[in-house]
Formats: sequence, C-alpha cells, structure tokens
Amino acid sequence: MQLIKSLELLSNAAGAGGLTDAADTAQAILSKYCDTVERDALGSVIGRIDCGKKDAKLLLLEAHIDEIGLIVTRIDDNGFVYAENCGGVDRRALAAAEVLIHGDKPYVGVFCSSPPHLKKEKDKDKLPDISDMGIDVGMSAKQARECIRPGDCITFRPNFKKLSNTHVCGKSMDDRAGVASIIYCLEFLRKIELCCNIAVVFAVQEELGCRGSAVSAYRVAPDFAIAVDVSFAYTPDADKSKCGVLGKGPMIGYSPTLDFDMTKKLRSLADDNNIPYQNEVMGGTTGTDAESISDARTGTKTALLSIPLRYMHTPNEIVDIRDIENAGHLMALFAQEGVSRL
Amino acid sequence: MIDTLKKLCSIEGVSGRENKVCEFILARLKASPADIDVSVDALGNVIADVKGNNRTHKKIMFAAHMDEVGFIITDATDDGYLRFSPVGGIDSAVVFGRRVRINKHIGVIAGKAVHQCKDDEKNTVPDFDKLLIDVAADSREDALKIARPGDVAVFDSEFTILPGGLIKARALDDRAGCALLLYLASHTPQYDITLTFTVQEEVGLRGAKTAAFGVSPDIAVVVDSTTAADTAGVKPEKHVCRVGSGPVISFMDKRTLYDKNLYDQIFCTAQREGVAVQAKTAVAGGNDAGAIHLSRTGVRVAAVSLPCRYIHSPSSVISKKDLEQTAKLLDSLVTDFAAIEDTV
Repeated sequence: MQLIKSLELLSNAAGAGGLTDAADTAQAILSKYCDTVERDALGSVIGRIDCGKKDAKLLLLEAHIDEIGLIVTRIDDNGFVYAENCGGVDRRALAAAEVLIHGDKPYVGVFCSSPPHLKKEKDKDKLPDISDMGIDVGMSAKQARECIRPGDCITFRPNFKKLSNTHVCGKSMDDRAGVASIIYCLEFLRKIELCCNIAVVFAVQEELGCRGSAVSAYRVAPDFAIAVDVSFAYTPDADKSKCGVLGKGPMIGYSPTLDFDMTKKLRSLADDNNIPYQNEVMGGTTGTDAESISDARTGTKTALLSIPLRYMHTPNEIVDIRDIENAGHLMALFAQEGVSRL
Repeated sequence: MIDTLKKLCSIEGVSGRENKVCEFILARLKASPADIDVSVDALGNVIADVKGNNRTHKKIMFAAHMDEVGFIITDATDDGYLRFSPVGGIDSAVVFGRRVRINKHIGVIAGKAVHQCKDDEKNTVPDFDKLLIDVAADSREDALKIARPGDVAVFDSEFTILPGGLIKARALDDRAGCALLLYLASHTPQYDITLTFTVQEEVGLRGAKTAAFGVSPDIAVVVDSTTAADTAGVKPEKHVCRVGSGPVISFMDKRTLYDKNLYDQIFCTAQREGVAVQAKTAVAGGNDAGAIHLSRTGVRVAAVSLPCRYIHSPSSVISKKDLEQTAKLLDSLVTDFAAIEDTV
C-alpha cells in the first residue's frame, strides 16, 4: 500500500523540462533510506548508502525523474498559449487534453480541438503540428502574458487513479514507476546487512536525450549500474513480438550496449527466486539511460530492467504494481548476492 | 446556478439513460417554491407546468435536453478490452488517450505507443473501429464483469473553473440548458410556462418530438449549447459564436428555419435589458427545435444557446457570465413572448 501511495505522489508531481517538483518529491522519499542525498548541477537527485565494509563495490540504481511535456513558446493576441514538445508527447492524445501550465503558479489549460464542421474533408483525419495547437487557459492575452511566459513548462494534469487491485493509471508513470521500484528495493535492503555500497540516481532530462544520467554517472562513478525504465506492454493493436505483457514481471533487457554477465545474473536470480520476468531483446541501443551510464568515464557495467507500460507518452499510462515490486525485489537480490559474485 | 450545474454535470446521462438526471431534476422541481405540476412521459421527458403571476392564452414552452454524448459497449475482446460505439456525434480526434467512466470503473481509450507507430499512424486521428476501452481486465470474462453489452460510458472529466470565469466540464451540452430551466423554475414567472427536459436529443431529437406533442405549445424556446469556434488559430469569420459574448440566437441551422418575429424580439428584449447577445453566424448543427417546430400543426420556435468550446469533448468550456446573462434574458422573454402578436 505504501508503494502505491509513493507512486501517487510521484506521478502527480510535475517534472517536465526544468520543473523540480518531481525531483523534490523523490528526494524527500529517498532521504528516509540514504545516508546522504544531494542534487547535482543539472538537478538530478543522488542518494548514497554506505555499507561500512572495506573495498566494497558501488552499485548504482538509476531511474529518470523527468517526464514528457511541453514548453511555452508564445501567447497569441486572444490569450491562447502555444507550445513545443519537451520530450516526445503523443500528438494523437492532445485534442481536448487537460494540462497544467507552470507559470507563476500552475494553471489548468485545455488543448484546443477544432470543431468537426471546420475541418476540410481531406484533412479530417490529419493531426495538426503541436506548434499549431493552442491551449485555452480562459484568459485574455493581457492576463495570460502577466502570469505565463515563454519557457514555462507544461505537464499533463495530475490524474493518478487505481484501476484494479494491481493496475494504476496516471501521467508520467514513465518513469515514476522506475523510481518507485528503486524505493521498493531500498525498503528491502534496509532490512538486511549490505555487502556493497549503494548509490541511487533519479536523473533529469532523459526525455530530452538521456542527459542527466550522463553527468550523474560521471559523478557517482559506480562499479555496476542497473537502469530502470518502462517499456511497451502489449495492446491489441500492437505487434505482440515487440511488446511485453503487463503483470508478467519486469523485462530484463538484452542489448549489445548492456553487460551480458550482469544481465545473465539478473536472469538467474529471478529464476532461482521465482520472480516472474520477461525478456526484452534489442539489436541496437536501448534508448534509455543505460547507454549514457555505461559509457560514462572509462565505462560502467550496466544492466536494464523495464517495467511494462501501456499507452506510453499519453496522459493515461497504465502499469501493474506487481511488476514494480518484482523489479524492486530483483534489484535487491542483485545488491545482496549478485554484486559479490561478478 | 453554478452549483446546480456542477451537480448536473456530475451525473451520467448518455442518451437513453437519462434517468439519474431526471431524478435530480424532479427533486429540484419538487423543492421549488413555485407552483409546478410535473409529469414524465413514456420516453422519460420531464414536463413541468409552472404557474405564473399572470395567465396568457399562449402556451410557451422552454426545452433543454438531459442526455449527453457518450459510448455504448458492444462487446469484449478475448484480451479483456471492451468494444464500443459512440453515442451521438463524437469526433474520434478527442477520444484517443482519454479516460472514461463506466459502471463506477475507470477505463482508458488509447493504443500502442507512438514509438511503435509508422509515420502515417503517428499523424492520423485513430478511427473509432480501431479503438478499445482498457478496463484493466485480463480476460473477456473479467471485462464483462465490469460492463456488459448495452452498458454506457462517459468521458471522465472534473468540473473545473478556469481563470477568466470559464467552466470546463463534460456534458455542459446540455446540462447548462437544464440548469437554466431549473433557474426558471426556481421562482414564480410572470406568465405560465412549460419547461421540458428532454431525452435522446443527441441521437436525433427524439425526446423533443414526443414532448412537443404532449405539451402542444404555441411558442417554444430551445435552450441548448452550441459550437463556439473562437479557439486558437481560427479566423474570426469562422468563429460561429464566441464564448463570453453572450447568449447565441439562431436564425437557421441544419434542422430549423427559426421564427423571424421571435428572433427579432429576442434582440429587442436583450437590448432593453442590457444583455449582450450574438447571432449564430453559421448555418450549422441542429437542436430540439428541429423536432418541436414540426410537431402537430407546427410550432413557432426560437433558440437561445450557450456558446460552448470543444463541445462533445471531455473538456467543454462555457462562460459563467454567458450563463448568467442567458438566465436574465430568458426571464424577460417569458413576458415578451406572452405579449408577442399571434401569427395565426
């Protein structure tokens, strides 16, 4: 239950672009588990737990704290706010979507949807560019310009909701689900005697090109790292072979960029401890923070766990709590048994 | 009135399932200090005869519809998703990525991640026939425990006051009209009037047909919500009407050519009362007047509408000021329409 509460707080917090609310929320939770917690120059949260043992290895657990959103570019003379992507928002989900514009305070706005009678037959099914879609904030141009400025960030309106005993739905489960799994892991580790040092990074700017994790990994300089992100869960319109399934366990990533020994270790720990998991095999890069961590400094052995998620980059991302728990459990086993054997 | 509207918008009432809205309206009518005789016809229309301070030989009817657009469940897939059809004119462009309420459960309508879409899929509005409702069920059996074929769903959308005195909610079309009619019922009007809260407007003005037959009015005023296209990037000549510029008066739409004398009278009344009104500047859409004016031997009709942005979407937007001004105008129209010259 505590996991769901944490996830609700994290999902509802704003973390697009330079917004720090989500990082503040994550830092507050993380500080209960860590000896020290700090922020780096870009704004990522870094926590550390010292096991007190000589020559202990350092394991980094990483998830990104930012979310997809938009950034205000201009306000037109009728008070409509225009924005550009700040991460890869799904344009199909924008018409009539509710957002929060983080001006001098958060303002609710609605993405304009053009009435069907104004659409030409040939363009009827064509989605407009984001830069042409205004946001209605109910204000005149003068009012709007006083409290909203170019550069202000926009997120979807907080909307966390439990759908069933195990499914939850809300904005920015990508990657607050990953953040929550690391917190769940720390809850496990709190009860045991650690044999390695732990660093936790909740990185900014993943959605803008995995930037935060690169500098955080440089600072932490770990021996091993596990990145936790989300990946595609099957929906009936998708290719089954390219998706995981919600509720069937975290997805263990296989990629040329990931350390195969670590990956195999995660897999055998899951097998030995009856933790459900799925395999996610990628022929090239993973498109996650795992890459930017693995090539920091002289290189870090890195593995990737992904929480299956439906409707990525829409306001209603769905995840299964059991997958988050199992990812957390698996990371705890790796910290406990895996590190010393690699 | 805002509080009444908020309550009305919290009730689910897709076409053909207006009973909860009906119950709320009946309770409000019962609580009114005015002398009101209420009946409900076979289709579910609420018909309320409100006794005024004065008699008139004309029967004046006001109509607003209780139903709203939504979705009807047609089946479930083996994967545990619900299949559905839209009820009423919903543009599929506002459906993808939205949340719906269904039998007290929450569902999500979306599809595969944008990352997995081909270019044309990324740039195209998804078709209704490709969309499903995700109710977090693992099997067909579990999905059918949540909703069965024939059950209905509505957009999940919180009633929110935006800056600038705007209201954002679903179902403002036409709970706003219902709230205005309840306002008319909250005090004794100058003349006798009949208020009809109709069913099934969104599926072809069906309730209004039987209600008008039952009431047999001389004059009918339809109080509905209408498309305001004064939104981002739309040229002024395409606005149709504007939120915040007052009640919208129709001269013609796709279903009705409105009575010219009533149309002119509304502008005179508005000017005298200091209410800013606007003409609907496009021949588009239609409302209960389409059914009412063809009832029996014909009925003189007028439409006074609330300008509404993003109508039939989860995030419809109207203005509090427009709502208040419309209430004021309707009050005055009771007197002026009672006095208006008969045409036959």
